[in-house]
Amino acid sequence: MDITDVIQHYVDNYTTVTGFVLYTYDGNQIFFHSKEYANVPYLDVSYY
Amino acid sequence: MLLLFLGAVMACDLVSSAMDSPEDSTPPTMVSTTPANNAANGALNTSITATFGEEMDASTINTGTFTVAPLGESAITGLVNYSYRTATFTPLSVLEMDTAYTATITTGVKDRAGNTLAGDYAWLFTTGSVSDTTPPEVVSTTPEPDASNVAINTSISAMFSETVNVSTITEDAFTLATGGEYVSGGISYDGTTVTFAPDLNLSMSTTYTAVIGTGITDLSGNGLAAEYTWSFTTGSTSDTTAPIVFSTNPADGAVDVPVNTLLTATFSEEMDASTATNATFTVSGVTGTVVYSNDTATYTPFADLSLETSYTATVSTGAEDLAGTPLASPYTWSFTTVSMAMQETTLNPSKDTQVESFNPDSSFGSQDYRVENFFGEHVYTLVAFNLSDHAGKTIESAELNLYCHNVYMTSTFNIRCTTIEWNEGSTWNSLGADYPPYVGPVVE
Repeated sequence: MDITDVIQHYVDNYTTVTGFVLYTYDGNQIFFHSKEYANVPYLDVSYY
Repeated sequence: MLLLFLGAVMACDLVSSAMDSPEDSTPPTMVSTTPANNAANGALNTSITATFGEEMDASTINTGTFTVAPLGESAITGLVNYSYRTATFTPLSVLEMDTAYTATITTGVKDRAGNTLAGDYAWLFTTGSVSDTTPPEVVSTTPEPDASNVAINTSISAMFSETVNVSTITEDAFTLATGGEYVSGGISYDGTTVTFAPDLNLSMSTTYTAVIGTGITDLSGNGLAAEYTWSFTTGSTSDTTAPIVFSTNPADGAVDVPVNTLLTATFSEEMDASTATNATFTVSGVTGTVVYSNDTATYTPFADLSLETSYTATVSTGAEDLAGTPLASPYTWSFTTVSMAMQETTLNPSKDTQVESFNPDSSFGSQDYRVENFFGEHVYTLVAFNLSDHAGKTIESAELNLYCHNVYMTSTFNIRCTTIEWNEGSTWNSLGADYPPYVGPVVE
């Protein structure tokens, strides 16, 4: 399943979803810029 | 730094004219301008052009009917000339930096039948801060350099790297000669292509040399850096094979065509660019501009097509190949647009944070965040986007873009929806996050 399906599921099924959770099981750390960094992360959505 | 995508994871002028006939009562149309409407960063030394859909009465195109002015101010002074369906306004001094200008063609202009524009035509453009000093180049020719067995009834064309100033396309700007004798013929110009059509068939088995002179300049007055010269050798026959439309976009019968689509017709051979225009390439109920390049005519509508509408496109027998042979018959195809227009949006997070089981009372809402499951300890990264406006929509595609700054580490991670209540001040303990706080399908 890809992010498109997750977004579709989100808009179809939830009115109380408060966002996305990112997690991993492989024990490796990945550091990401937060929204305080210039315009990332961001979500591009194309829809009908 | 590495940009990661999460999902599958981390993301011319021989034109026409029938219009010259006494019966012509159709107003002339505007097909393109330079700079284009709403163009930004225009060169300070540019001329301003407007190209019509048919030949115009040159005596009606002057500084009274073609004006250029800084937005809200008086018109600037300049020279106006007309040729090859194109009116050119050349300012007497460079334009102001970073300034919005309005160019206007008034209803004082007339076609050769005396029809005026339906209304004043105005467009806006903004200058940048520099002048254009890059000379134009010849990027392709037909026939190609050193071509052999060329049809004796061919025309000769050259395509430039940019729009050139039509007033510089004079008789001696494009010549064809053999054995020191110049060939007589006519010059046409359309888009960025200049074409020389000999008055008579060329001689058989003869080598000709074509020359594009340095007198041709771009709209900023930059001439070709050097003469462009090439030669080709004729064969013994004429080209009498009619061109055909080889393929189109959209294809005939296509459905769900995007409303912002560009229409193309690709021909079986190189065409005379001056005949592949919006006079010969038409779309029912649509106005637009046509540009021809590399066997293909591209029709760009002035506005998006209508939703859920059938359109018919036609290339008429006015379209001719370089030997002057027209299509054997008009080529027509139809297509239908989508019932709903696809829309695109970019969302920024309304909030984001992380919570850690090993710092259960600490808040990390204003820091960069990490994703891990480390030594049995847990980290959840939470990112919220407001998708409420998308309820009931069909998602065509989605792409979550994250910016990673520990490029020495590779990993994969998962993403799901969460229904827990959180904010940027939340902690592991305040969330009671000792369970997987996620629902719905998972991206792995």
